[in-house]
Amino acid sequence: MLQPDLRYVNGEYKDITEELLGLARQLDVSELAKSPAFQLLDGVSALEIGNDRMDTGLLYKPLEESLAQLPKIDGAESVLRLMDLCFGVERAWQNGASLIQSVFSCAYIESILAGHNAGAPLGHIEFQEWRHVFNVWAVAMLKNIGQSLDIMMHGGVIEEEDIVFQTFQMNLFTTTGAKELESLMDSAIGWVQTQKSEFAHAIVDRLKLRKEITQLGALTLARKLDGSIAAAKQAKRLAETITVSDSETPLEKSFTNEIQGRVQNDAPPRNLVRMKPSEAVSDFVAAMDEIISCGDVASVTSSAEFLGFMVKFSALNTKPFTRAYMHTQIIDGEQFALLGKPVREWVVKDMIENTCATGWGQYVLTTSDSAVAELTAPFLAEADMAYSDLFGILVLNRSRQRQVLSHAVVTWDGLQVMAENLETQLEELVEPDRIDMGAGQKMNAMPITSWVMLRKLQVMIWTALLGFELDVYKLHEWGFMSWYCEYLSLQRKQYLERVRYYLCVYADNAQMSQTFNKKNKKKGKKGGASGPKEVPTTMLQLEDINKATMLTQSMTVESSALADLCKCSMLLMYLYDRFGLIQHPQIKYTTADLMYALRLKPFSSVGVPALVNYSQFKESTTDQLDALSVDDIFAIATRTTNELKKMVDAVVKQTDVKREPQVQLLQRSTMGISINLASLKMKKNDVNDYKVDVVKSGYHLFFPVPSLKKKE
Amino acid sequence: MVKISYRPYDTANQQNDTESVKGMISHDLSEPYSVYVYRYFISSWPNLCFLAFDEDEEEKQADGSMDKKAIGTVVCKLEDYRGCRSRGYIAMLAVKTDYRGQGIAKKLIDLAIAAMVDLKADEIMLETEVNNAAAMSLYENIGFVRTKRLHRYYLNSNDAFRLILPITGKSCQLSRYLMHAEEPVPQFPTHAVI
Repeated sequence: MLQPDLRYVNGEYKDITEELLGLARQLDVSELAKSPAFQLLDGVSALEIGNDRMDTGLLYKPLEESLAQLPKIDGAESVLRLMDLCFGVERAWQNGASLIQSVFSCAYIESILAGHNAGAPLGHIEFQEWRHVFNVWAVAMLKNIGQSLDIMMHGGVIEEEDIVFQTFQMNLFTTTGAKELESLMDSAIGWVQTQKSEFAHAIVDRLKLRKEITQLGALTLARKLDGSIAAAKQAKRLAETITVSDSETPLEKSFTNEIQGRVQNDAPPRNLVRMKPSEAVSDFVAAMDEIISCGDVASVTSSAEFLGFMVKFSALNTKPFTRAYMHTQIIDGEQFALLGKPVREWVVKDMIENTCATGWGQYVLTTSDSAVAELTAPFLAEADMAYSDLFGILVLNRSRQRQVLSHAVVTWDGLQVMAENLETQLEELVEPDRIDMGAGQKMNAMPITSWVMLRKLQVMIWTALLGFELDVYKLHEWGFMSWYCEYLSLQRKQYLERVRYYLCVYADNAQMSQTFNKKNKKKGKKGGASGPKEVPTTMLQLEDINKATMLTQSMTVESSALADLCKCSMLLMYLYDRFGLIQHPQIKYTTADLMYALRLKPFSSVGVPALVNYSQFKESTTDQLDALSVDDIFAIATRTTNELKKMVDAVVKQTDVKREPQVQLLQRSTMGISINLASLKMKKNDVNDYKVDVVKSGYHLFFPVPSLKKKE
Repeated sequence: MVKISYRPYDTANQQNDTESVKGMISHDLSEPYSVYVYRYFISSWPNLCFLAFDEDEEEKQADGSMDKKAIGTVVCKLEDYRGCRSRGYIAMLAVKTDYRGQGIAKKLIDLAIAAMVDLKADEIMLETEVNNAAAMSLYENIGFVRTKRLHRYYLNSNDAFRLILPITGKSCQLSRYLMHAEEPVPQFPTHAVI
């Protein structure tokens, strides 16, 4: 191998031009010059100089030259139109475009950035020309982009995936205070109001809107929820009053790709992206609506409400800034707090709300007894992480949610092992709660392990159901994925029923102990230094137990409905398959077992509930269904769907569907499956004229309906 | 009926084959690849690059000679993934427009997969745009499974699916467990709670 000498001598690289040319002459055509210091992989992101599809340097033109060709902004109308065009590129950036193909593509903006001495104060501006007004507005816009970047870098968005962070070494007025800018905008407003122009009022409106956006950024960075929501409401009101024009203007020529040749740029040339002014205003109003709805998070008090709120938020497919805003408001990584309260407080609250409401649970989670606290500390530290991670996941985009949730499955599974060990160790110190299993048999209640188990199952169910929403499953996989979701939901239901039984028994005991006031004395004798301490459930805790029982009851109904819905979906898919409507791959290098195992890989490490392998799945489902007649399966599916409809209808009646629209969507999905079952039954003799398409519109995100469609 | 032949990349004919591959791939791409991208794959895994030719047509080659017209290509690699499995990757696939619909892409993919299987691949992976129905159909009809949806994966803002063809059981286990295969299996809970 020919190898150039690339030594680094006395702080400088050696000039190897002659050596390289000499070696190059020895090469055959297509032979490679290689160095161990440079692997071909290092070069894959290289750009070829001189290639017009890769080399943005070919676009180079001095800024002065670009500016000289620009239309003049010498009047109020041109300032107004340019503001609106810039708003269009700003919104394009907020929706994922790079700054270089949006905001920075405006040579006027570039000249402001190039002329600004980073770190220097803006100082006083003597307004004499309309252009000064534009400059102040544009500086505020750049500041707002900087604020947005600060917020988005905090979390909730993924760089490049949700939004492009790169600023091409431009200083976005990071050291300029929001107050300084607001003061400048006030001065600009004052000057504009003294001018006799038919456009003055419209320009003032835009300056006021920009002031409000600056406020929104500053208050968000300061984690002021109420203040930032008020700013978002005001910004929305102002934006709604703005009238914009989408008509063509020579000012559009201010936006070119020339800047791409002037900045340090490691990407190929990118097309310009912008929104029309009217689209930008609508997009901004929609963005403010999203922010405003985030404010409702302040009203949550219980962990169940908090998680429920965030689950609903996570499904809204909000803009990157909204997700980052939510992240900023609810998650404080430095203080390790959620919604202003320590994560530990939320975790303990969550456990007590669910499975640890009895005297035993409350004692071990809150006692100052150092022996108990020493045992619970490592578990709670891990639980804090796992619990807070859930909130971090729920502000990500949906695809990322699925990926990260699948990692959370492993985390919660590991936590379950810790919980079991903890409860075994605690037995030495505190008499555990026991459940009477009948025939004199008692077993430990294990409420901490149950809490982990229920959360783990929830994470597993979310992960599995997100695959339907994101089109990750092909139709031939729907059957076993629906079956797996049913299996998980039934497992969850089973655990919830046990928890409810346990809570009810202890609630009864608490009432009895208070009524007769005997047990406490008796327990006082038992709880000596020699044995484990017995913790009674008190009347004070009775309220917590009742709340936990109610929550458990509603979660049981939810699990039951989910299980039935999954079962109906599975039966519908089975019937489609039986009628030959589902295409299966012509596999050659793999097997059905391997494809099944790969699909369920996120759950492969879980101990309980253990993954069912492909042959077991087939034996317990498809093989049994294969043995039945089509009419029998229609009968089973129809009966299950009818029962589900009754259950969902009852839930809808008890729900405020305006607040909980997903319940109504669940009802629609149930109806969709029912209608398609009936439709298939009717058309079973001419199924060849039909195909199966997944319909999403109008249905729950997790339960799109595979529907029968006439072939074209 | 067009007579089509297939063969692996010819390392003795690097200049012509590389230019043929580059020409076919870059024609279909919205974003250009530098020469290093082709070099990286082709020089490191020439045995996993295949070309299809129209036996009845000739075209001018990079060295000026005339030879059979290249009409399709597939470029792949195979390497260790996290020290726990051997992962093949289908990096590029192109068939000239006039020759599409004749099963050429399927045959090229089949050759590439067979070569990777011979080299003990545990799985084969690729990404494709969610709305590229033709590519999705091609891969999924031979057993590729969608494992991830990748949000705004492409510069045109479109999502992608990551597809994996599992060849061995190693493809179906989480890498964190395969990486520590020598360690004792963690004691997962096996009894019911409450």
